[in-house]
Amino acid sequence: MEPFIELQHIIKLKGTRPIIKRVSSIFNGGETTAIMGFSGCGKSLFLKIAAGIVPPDRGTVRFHGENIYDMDPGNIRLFRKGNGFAFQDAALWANKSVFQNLALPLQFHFPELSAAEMNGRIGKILDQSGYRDSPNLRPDQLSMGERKIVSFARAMVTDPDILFLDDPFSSIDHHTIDRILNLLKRKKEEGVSIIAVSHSAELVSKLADRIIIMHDGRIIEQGQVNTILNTTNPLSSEILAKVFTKPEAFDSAILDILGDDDFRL
Amino acid sequence: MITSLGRWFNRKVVAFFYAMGYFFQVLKETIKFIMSRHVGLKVLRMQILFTGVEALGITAILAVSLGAVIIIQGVSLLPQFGQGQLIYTILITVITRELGPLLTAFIIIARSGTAIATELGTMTYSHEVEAYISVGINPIAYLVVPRVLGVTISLLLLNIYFNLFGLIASYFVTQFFTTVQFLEYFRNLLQTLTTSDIFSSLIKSVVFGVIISTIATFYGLHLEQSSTEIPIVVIKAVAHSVVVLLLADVFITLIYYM
Repeated sequence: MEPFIELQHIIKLKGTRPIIKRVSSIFNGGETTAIMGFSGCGKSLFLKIAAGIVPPDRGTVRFHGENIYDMDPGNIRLFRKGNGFAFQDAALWANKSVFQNLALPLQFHFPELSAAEMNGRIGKILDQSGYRDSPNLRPDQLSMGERKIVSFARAMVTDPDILFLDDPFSSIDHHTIDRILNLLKRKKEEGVSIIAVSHSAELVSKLADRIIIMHDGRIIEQGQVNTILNTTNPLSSEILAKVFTKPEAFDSAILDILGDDDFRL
Repeated sequence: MITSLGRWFNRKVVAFFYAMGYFFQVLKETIKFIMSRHVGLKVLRMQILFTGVEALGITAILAVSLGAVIIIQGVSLLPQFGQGQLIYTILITVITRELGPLLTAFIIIARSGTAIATELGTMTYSHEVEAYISVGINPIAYLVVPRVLGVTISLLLLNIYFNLFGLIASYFVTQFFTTVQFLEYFRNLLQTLTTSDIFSSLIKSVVFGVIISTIATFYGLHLEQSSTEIPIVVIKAVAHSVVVLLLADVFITLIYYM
């Protein structure tokens, strides 16, 4: 797999205090990476830096070798067109309806789409994501779970090659999680790269190729799922245990990954 | 002591250049916005509606009251000193050149400056601004420029509206108290009014519009982490707008008399 996003020696400061501490990582095309760690360890910020949303104070983020934060407007537009970001708190535009939240990225990147094509595309992705309410509602009329679904649909609506998902399954019911997981599985099979901050055992077991474990603004471990799940690092084990001791984690998929003998978390 | 003074000075210099960088970025995006059809046109229309149209009532009341007070005071006092004709110079100086642009600017700071800083602050806090970046929409082009243009266009039009009400409508109000003939009043007013008065007034309202909107958007987008910062950025936006506005007013007035 070809490396497509490369973060080198990333430092992010809050005032004078570093909150991301000289972090480096490489994301390969078509791969699914799960970023895990305790709350406040810098996972979401790391994801936003990788997605080119928050610039680092030091270090570089390269997309196919080109620094994201130095790209010319044409290339940055192409980069954005090819990726979608679902926010942890949904971050839907409050003054727009659900439909308009999904229509704006389409209008911006695909101005040639007719109204009928746009309606069709938005209706399809909302249905696939499991959104059942009216597309004319405003975000403040939705539950947190519904907002997260719409945020996910907004990330997917432009049919991106890279998906950045920040804790995509929190506040969402299991039925909808299954639906989204199946959709992500299909996208993965089509070659879409997924980088997700998640503590979902299902996402790790069914989709992830790599795991990054963060603690206190640093990456303490990163590698293929099987390698990381057999870690001897006590901190990594503690973080993984929090995920895999949940009852829903004991499904066939995770046991397949670990093997009965290896399941020692 | 010297070290902390040096740090403070360094912070101020960095903040100044950061603000200048922001201003030039807004300027660049504004030129691009004007040159090309943009998805932010709807935001621009809404901004003009909110800043301009919805402020018509209060602007008219203020303009008529001010004009009426000047006419009543002038017509009563000035003839006693043999300076009855000065009323027209006073009207033009106060309404057209000074208080027209300044009072409309204050109305807009109170209504739209605070609203813009609050709205953008809330959007920043709820990561809506980051969401624009994530889909590739430049927040300066989409959120800031339509507001800057909307406020500036509205302030310019409100200033003209203020002048119409302050100079003409106020005349009719004063008819209950004075006996000045309309044609005489209107002819004297036009004779006193010069092109430089009009230009000075219009330039002031454009400059004030740019100042208010740029400062309000700058502070709105400057929110760091917490929702409790929103009132703080609003207060900063208002305070800085008033100070910069008055400095700009003095500067433009000085140029006028040079």
